[in-house]
Amino acid sequence: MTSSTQTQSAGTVEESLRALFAGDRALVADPAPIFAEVRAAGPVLRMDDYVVVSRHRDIEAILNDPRARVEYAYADALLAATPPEDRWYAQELLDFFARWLAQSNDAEHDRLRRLVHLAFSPRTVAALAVDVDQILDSLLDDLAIEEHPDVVTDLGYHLPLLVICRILDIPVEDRFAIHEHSIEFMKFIVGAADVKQSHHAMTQLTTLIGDRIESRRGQPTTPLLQQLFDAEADGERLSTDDLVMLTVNLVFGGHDTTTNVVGNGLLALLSHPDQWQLLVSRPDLARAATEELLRFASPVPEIHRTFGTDVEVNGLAFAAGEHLRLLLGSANTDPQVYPDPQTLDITREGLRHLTFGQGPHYCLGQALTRLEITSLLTKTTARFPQMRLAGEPVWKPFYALRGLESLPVDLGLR
Amino acid sequence: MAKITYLLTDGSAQSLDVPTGTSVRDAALADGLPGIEGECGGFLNCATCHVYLDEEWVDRLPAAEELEDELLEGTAAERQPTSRLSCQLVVDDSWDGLTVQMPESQY
Repeated sequence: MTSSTQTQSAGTVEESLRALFAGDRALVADPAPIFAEVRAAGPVLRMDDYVVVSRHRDIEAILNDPRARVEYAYADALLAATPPEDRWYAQELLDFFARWLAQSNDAEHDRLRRLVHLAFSPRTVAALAVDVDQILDSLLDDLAIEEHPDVVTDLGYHLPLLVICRILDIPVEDRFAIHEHSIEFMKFIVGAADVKQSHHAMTQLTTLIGDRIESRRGQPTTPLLQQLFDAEADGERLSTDDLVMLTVNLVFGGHDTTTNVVGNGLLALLSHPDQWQLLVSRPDLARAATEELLRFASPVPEIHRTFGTDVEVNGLAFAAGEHLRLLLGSANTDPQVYPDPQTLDITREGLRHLTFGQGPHYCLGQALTRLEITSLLTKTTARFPQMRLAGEPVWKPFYALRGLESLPVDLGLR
Repeated sequence: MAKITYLLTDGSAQSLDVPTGTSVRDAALADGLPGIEGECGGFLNCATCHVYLDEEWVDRLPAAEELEDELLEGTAAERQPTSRLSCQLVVDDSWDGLTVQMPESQY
């Protein structure tokens, strides 16, 4: 390839990526063609302040490299875009987010993770199956009597929030406020914040959840919350501040991405009626379908890493401090790893994907998400076998946490 | 190199020649053996690479460290005195003849 071709090709890809990263709804709805372009352009694409990595094997190697550190990649851009008098809002948001489990590194990450990992272990999650089924039955009862049912607004955001509220002993009525503030805070996470609004959402979430947690102190409560109350980290009791921070992190992490799996996944399935009907006739495929939907309809199409020193990983050189955008959605549709990757096929066997990441930061809630989605698929196909799309899906105008605002359906009951 | 035998849940057995320095998890996944998920990549995060050691091997292998011991409390199948996470079982030549049993489930 000549250098002029490289330049021209990279320019085109860069423009497409910028529009995708900015949350262009049409591109968010179908990023696959852009992912294919990026993979074809080369293993890495340096553009603006970022290094975009798109191929499965490279991303997997970076995620599994213990030298790779998580970071919030939009900090510089956020501060630069914020008027000086408002920068303290931005700085407090950055300081708050940096303390989340998912954003921490090294010993601090290990300390926080060990406080909660058993609460999300395969054994603990398996024991939640009865609760998840019960919550789903109730939600599907309500959905069945909706005049205009919507599987995102009536189902997708309630399911994971009701589950995480139950795990953390938070009153279920709080889920509406939690959802509202989470949506606003999410704009900060994806780099699209109005800092004052996101700061307000952060304060509201912290106050609401902090008050609820405090009200349970000394009372009979759930195993996870009791465990946190009892927790000692490195010989010291977890501070109240840490406890609230961790709980906010769990509430947010425990619902938003799962909401997106519900919406994205049901849209993918209902857009492929043969696969929906296959699942209706073969409910034993629900677990395999869950994995395929996690791959095909990735709710987290990218995550970020950086290195503290110059490194080489899988033959690729990265300089210290470069901001790596790892396109998980692209990795999950890389034809070097997945045969016919743009085909939704719920019968794929032994499927492995990168939707939950990999390595030291592998998603804490993966077993719970898998349980929730498998149960949801089993119950919705059994109860509404004739379900079909009934209107245009509406995508959130964000890319990095990719999900739907609305997905109207016809339940096929009449 | 050591010959490691995996007892699968369907009652069959499969033996692999595992190079020194490779984990019991990695060898099984590379060969496509069913029964080990090993989702997190071998970083003590998921507890889905659980295996049961043959009893005679329990004291011959390095004991589980603290974090592995904690995570074994969260495996889907019941923890036994022979339970280990196979990502932490990094093979050397002296392990020739080791047998591990896959659990009924990793979830």
